[in-house]
Amino acid sequence: MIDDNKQPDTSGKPNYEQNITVPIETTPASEEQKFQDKTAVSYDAEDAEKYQVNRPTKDILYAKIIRQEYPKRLCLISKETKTTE
Amino acid sequence: MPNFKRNENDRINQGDIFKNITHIESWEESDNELKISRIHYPYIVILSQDCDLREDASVRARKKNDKALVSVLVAPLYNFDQFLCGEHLQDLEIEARKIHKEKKGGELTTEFKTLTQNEIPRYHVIDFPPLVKSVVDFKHYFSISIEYLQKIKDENFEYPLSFLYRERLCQRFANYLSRIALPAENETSI
Repeated sequence: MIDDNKQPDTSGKPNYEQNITVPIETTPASEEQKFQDKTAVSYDAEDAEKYQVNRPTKDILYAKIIRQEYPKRLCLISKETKTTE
Repeated sequence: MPNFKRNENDRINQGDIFKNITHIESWEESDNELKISRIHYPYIVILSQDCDLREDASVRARKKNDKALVSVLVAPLYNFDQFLCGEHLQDLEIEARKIHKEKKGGELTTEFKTLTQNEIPRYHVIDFPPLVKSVVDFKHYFSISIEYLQKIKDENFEYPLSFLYRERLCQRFANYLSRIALPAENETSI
């Protein structure tokens, strides 16, 4: 049985937040336009590397379930962003 | 911009291109913890049938209906130049095959011409400025919540494809999905 009124034990747990809403990092519009202008003419690998406008990325969220019944409530524990060397 | 014509309705349309879309690749639940793996796509295009989307928009407000969609089929758009270099999935740690543009003499390769003429069943090239030249990879299609799309529509909607071009795109997608793979010659059995 889950006790709804029981507050989650956050002692000793790192970086608890109230929900799992994580802002998606996007490239600023000006940078994006600069890249699009560039690729419209020719490809420059360095610029593509720099702006990465059109390349999918991946991340993993770890969240603690603090209420099991619908609607479930989650606390974000950490976010791991995959990057390439 | 003859190929981008704004839709007058306020719903998701077939051929709409969205930017910055998050796809939940997988999730695991164990020991009261969730592990959620997400892929962020810079651009996707809507492939679901437009009449289904229209029907969904008209009935979604009603609580009980069987015409509302569960999800929408979409496919990612990849940067054309990165695609040619086989680097478009680099950040997912996936290597892709390079497509050579020119032969030694400067003549375009057959594969490049076939790609840009949209004759390779798996790929569809979209080259309609101001959108950066892109390739739709039909093999990478996935489904996405229509409620999520509605929620982010105002901010993430980028361009609509006009009628003729969206029909072409979706017909090619349907053809790709309905292709029939025959066994290799040495596997044939009756």
